[in-house]
Amino acid sequence: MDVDEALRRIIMAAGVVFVLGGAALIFVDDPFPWGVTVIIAPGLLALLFAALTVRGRLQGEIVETVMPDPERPPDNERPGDEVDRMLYEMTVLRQGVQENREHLEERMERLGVAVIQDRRDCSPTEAERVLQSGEWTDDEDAAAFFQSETSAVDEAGFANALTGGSSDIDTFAYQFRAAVEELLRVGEIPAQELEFDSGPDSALGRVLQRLGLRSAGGDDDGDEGVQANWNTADSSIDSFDTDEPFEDVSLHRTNRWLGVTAFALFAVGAGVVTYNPGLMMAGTVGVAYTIYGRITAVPATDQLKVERELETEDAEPGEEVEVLVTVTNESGSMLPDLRLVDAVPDSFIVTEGCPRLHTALRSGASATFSYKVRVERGEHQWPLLCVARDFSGGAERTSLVTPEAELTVTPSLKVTNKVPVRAQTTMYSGDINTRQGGPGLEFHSVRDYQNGDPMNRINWKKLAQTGELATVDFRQEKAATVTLLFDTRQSSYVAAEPGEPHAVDHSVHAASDVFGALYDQGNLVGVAAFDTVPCWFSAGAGSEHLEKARMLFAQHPALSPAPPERQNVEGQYIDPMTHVLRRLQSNSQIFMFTPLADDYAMEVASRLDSQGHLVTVLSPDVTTDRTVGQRLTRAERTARVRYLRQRGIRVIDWDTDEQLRLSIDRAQARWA
Amino acid sequence: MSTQNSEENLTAVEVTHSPTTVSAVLATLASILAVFASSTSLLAMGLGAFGLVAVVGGLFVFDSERAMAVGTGIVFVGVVLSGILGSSLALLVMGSFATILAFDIGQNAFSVGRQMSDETETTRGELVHASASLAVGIVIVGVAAVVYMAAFEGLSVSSLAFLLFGAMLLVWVIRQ
Repeated sequence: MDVDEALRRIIMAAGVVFVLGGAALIFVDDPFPWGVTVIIAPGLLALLFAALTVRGRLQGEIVETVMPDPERPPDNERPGDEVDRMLYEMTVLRQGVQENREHLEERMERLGVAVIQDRRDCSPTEAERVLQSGEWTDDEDAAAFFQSETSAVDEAGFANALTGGSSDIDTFAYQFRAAVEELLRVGEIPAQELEFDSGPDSALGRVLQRLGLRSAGGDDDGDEGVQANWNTADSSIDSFDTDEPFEDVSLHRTNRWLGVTAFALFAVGAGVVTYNPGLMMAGTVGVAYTIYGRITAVPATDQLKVERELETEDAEPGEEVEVLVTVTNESGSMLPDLRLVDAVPDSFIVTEGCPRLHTALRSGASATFSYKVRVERGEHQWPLLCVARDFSGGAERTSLVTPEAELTVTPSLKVTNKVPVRAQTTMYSGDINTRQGGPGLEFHSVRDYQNGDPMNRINWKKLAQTGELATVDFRQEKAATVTLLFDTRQSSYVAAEPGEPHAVDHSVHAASDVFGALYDQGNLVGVAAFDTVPCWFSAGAGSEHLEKARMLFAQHPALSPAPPERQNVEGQYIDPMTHVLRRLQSNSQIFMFTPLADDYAMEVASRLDSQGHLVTVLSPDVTTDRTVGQRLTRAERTARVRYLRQRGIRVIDWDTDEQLRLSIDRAQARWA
Repeated sequence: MSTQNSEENLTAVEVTHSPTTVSAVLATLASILAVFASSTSLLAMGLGAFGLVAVVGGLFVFDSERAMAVGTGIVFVGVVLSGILGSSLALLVMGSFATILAFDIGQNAFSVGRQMSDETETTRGELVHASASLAVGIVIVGVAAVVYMAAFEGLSVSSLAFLLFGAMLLVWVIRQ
């Protein structure tokens, strides 16, 4: 028993003794010699308690479950957020200056070398020299960023750490911005003019909000743009994953009657001090309400029956599905205050209606609400978050009720684009024209007759003219093995805006299309992903293969629409490509889907290329250009695309605002 | 991609969390009643009207629960002041009752607004809560009136002091 509890009991006992004493004194003559003034003592005590209670109330002692806003789209990271965060830490919080600075300097150095190498067509050493000498730009600040680089790291050691080096950091940040702008200009990387007034602030605000550095009072400012939500991060519920049909999350007092207690104490105090029976009576009303708030019955939500009807149980990603939820009170007692929120999965958004209801249910009564959601791939079963209070609202019970209904969303693998395949083929016949002659349709060449050549390929005209036997060769048409390779590491879960699909979503949407197209062309198609969760689906053919691939797109955790950190996936760090390389067939072509968010993705592409695979990189562009970090990330990505193209790797740079087909056409025109 | 383009116009619905209308209106009505109950003194009524402005502002304009809570507090101070300056027992009990209702229902407006949303169907839940508080209050006032008439006259000073002191201690303990 802790001290608070002991004190509570002592006060309670004293209270009971006083009340009993007071009651006994009603029936005997007053034995104490004191006068009316003694009454003032409890009056003053009451006023003191009232003041204390008001203080407690104003400091916010109300406890209530914070509900998520599952209607809203998930709040995916934007590319470059980490850079903005580092700058913020350095310039405002003055934290981690050394590490952040070194990290940014290293990234800038790599980008600078890449950009200059690309522009001047020179060696990396030469590019480095140009960068250090400052010849590459007229902008002094930008040039200074790379020139001061080595010395800054040395100087920034001990002396700066002691003084905080604040002016130094500001200079660094200023030069950093200037250098990013200058690299964008020199590298001719398309980006809109940076508006220093409005753009970065609101974007920065969002970053800060995610960091928890600024309170999420987003409802007040209308210019917030799209509001986003993570079910767990934005609510007081730790997890919405539950295997049980009913799970209690918490049962607690709300303390919402605390203010009324203050009213009561104040009125009684004032009534006693001024000896005013009317006021004492008025106070008694408050005291009675305090007791009302204390008398609680735990709402029997475990007897609440929840049914969820889905318009369809098999949907395609992007489809709208209507959901109808019916709750029935089977507890035998009334549920006076029910607050229901359907915890729609993070990757869904609600497009119509409202997945919430606030009602009271008599025993046996039921209520319904309905809404429409836009669904995303996966197998989904989600709980209804149920917050029930008693009549007074003094106690609150939070539970998750999961109905049986399950929704499976699988992509259709329908073909809408023709996808270019390159000439690395297998022994199986298929659709790709090869350079080899043989049986086929399109004329290839005429050669000397060899014993055993089939009769239908003998060049009869030539035989008639000259009497010599010759054989016609046609272009051989073969099938290719294509492996669709996904980059689904944490860094790929980036979206241009909250509410827009992130790069992995774009990739999987495009891939379900590409898969169908390649399959239709008679190729053997497989799927792999490099992630901490191994994902491998061997190339194959046949309708069963197609069906399995559909399920893979829908269910595999590596391709899930939720980022790895938000899944319950355990994994230790190994090179994510290890398992892919072990199983990849040597003659397999690679279609790699990656936002090229870091150098690793680029290295994977070039490594596969040097191992003799023909690699086509399909890269959804989700970078934006509103903050310095976003601009830096865009420049880096463009540099990676250029590097890969220089190495002869095909890159389809997919602007996600337009159709994939247009990007493919444009890329094909470049290859032709 | 074609699949996306045909459905790209699907955007998430708006979600806003302002205090719910039904409860906000009921809380305002209760505050007005409380201010009228303190009208025996012009000073007290003026103070109460000031509190009423805070209540209305908090509920309808600024979405501020604190403004609403402090506002009802001021209204209640007005009621007590009218009692000190001389008012009838019935008016005081009514004023106190109405203020507490305003506080409870107003607070519920914010709580429901936060946990649900403006787009949610909330009327039934709100009405049930408000009527429960009202019904409980009527019972309380009835019982208190009976107790008062039966017991208050016979109390000696010591007995009253003991009872009050004990009651204060008990209220303090059960308060949280």
